[in-house]
Amino acid sequence: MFEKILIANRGEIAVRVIHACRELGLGSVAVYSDVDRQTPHVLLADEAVPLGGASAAESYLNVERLLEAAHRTTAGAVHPGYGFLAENARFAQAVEDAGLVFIGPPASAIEAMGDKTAARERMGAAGVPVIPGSDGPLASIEEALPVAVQVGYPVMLKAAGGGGGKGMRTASNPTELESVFESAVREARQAFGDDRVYLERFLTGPRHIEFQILADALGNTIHLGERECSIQRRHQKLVEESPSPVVDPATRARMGEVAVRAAEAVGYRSAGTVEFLVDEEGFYFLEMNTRVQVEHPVTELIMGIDLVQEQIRIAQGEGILWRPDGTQPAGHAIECRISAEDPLHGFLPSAGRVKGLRIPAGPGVRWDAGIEEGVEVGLHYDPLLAKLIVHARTRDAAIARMRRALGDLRIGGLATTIPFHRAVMEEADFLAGEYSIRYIEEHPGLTRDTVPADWRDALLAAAVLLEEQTRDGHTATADRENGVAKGGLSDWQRAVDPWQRPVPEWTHSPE
Amino acid sequence: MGDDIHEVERTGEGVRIDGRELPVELVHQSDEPGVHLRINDRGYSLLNERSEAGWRIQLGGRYFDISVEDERTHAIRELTGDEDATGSSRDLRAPMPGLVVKILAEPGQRVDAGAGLVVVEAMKMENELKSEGPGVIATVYVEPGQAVNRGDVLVTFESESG
Repeated sequence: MFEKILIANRGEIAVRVIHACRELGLGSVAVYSDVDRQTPHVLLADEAVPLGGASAAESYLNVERLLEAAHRTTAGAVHPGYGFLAENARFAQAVEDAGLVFIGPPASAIEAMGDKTAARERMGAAGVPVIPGSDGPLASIEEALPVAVQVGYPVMLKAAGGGGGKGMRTASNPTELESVFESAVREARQAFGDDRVYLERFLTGPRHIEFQILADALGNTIHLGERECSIQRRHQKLVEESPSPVVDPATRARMGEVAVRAAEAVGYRSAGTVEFLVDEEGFYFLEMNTRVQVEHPVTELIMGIDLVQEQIRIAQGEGILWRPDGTQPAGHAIECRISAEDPLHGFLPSAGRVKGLRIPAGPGVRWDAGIEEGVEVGLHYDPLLAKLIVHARTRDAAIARMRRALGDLRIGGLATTIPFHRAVMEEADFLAGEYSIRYIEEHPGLTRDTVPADWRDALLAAAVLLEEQTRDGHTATADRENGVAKGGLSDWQRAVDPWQRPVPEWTHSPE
Repeated sequence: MGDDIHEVERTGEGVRIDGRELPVELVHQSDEPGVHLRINDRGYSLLNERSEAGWRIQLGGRYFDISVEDERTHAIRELTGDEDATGSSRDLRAPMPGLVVKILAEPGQRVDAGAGLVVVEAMKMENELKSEGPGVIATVYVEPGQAVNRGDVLVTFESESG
């Protein structure tokens, strides 16, 4: 079997896969674009091959270059990570055709789940509940309008070619539908090279709960419990936890059984995730992600499993090592996605050189990162920098641990989502476990500029003292002391802090 | 601009902020970036860098821009009245680098607050930039397909009466 794996990805997931390779005694090959020359995954891997270019299309999506790199380094398998080519059936096929092992599901399963409209039909036929919607892709707005009436507003347009929030738009009436149709099509084409969109009823306040699946080539398919991923912005998850605060053992068993059935219906193999939307009336199949998920660590921590190593072992033809023990999770895990986005300014992407990085450690804390001190973070790729994951005996203890770890974490040089996560870990509804996918819009205070009074004092004092330290020579100091001695106000400094945002408000298209 | 302004006076033991005495200690850790500050025995880990007007300081994962001015400089600026010479703050600027996808307004058009003006794509997501207030569009400086940098002026407004 293969002894060396090429990782067709970058950032934290590439680092994660290299770690798995190393623990299994396998070689690792990193690939990189011109701008990623000095990033952690490149420096960590046994071997590294340049792909050239900066844009994703020139580098991490360049199938020809990736296969060349595998050939050159005699890698026997390719791990796609998530994003980029991970859910591209043609890539999976091209890898197999080149005589290499694709560490993931068969191309046929990717294709079956990748075409979202076909997947809906297939799931319906397999007895998996789906959200009411269009029977197939919609060619035009004229075709979409009557379907929307039939399904009932509000509706959501989705890209048939892929997930992850790209190409998704909601509309609560025909006028809105007309105005968002075009941009949904455009975004779908850009993100997936496939401009087909379809329509579903938009559930107003559901939870997003997904099940981790593992299937081997020997015919075993199991689930590893759920992840609660309702805290999302523009369909991008920000906080994930497992178990879900609302899933009891009976519900877990029932949903898990359906998730296994969904995977079996497409002949699934490797790790995958079946996503559901859950409301008071029931649960509906949303989609299946045919790859390892960003949030896989929360399952790993409560189930005591290494999902990436399982993926590799399954790809080597071995059976699932891990046996479900009644599928009951041990303890509670939470993940916060640390992204290069500024939550206080509409989650604007940020860029810069990482400095002053301080990584939390101590009991129950895990840090999966694609950054290190000095790394330049640009705007070419996904803004995810790292994931902070904690594990503790109870949900309350896990929240307290996350709060502590976020307090210890420091990333300088660019704005990150840390302030958002700190706010969530204090927010009453989150603490109570009562939230839906509308959590962020329902809690605008989480992204608002409020500054504790003692912070203000600390910042002002620091600015003035730093200013003093950098002043030239002794004269200024002497003058200042004289000024103070003479009675105060003759040498005060005035600190002006523009708490207000310096740029126009960055608002987003209606969803 | 609605900025908070505070008078901070240096004392022997620390600072006086708006009349309140606060004992302060600033601790540098050799080569490590950032400083540790103690006010009334309470510790704060800060990352600091020079900015144009003073300091850019990170605390709790957030950045704060603090301009520091001594009394003399402040007095001169008050006299010359040089508050903000860099144009109208209502102009729409690119809040980040990106690619212009679509223009939603044209010169001479009257728009309401919140009206979409320009759609910019960044990190594969489309973002609609909206008007901060009501007004009349003077000039649109960009066109679809054009790459913009953070801070570039995209749209200007006609100045209102006066």
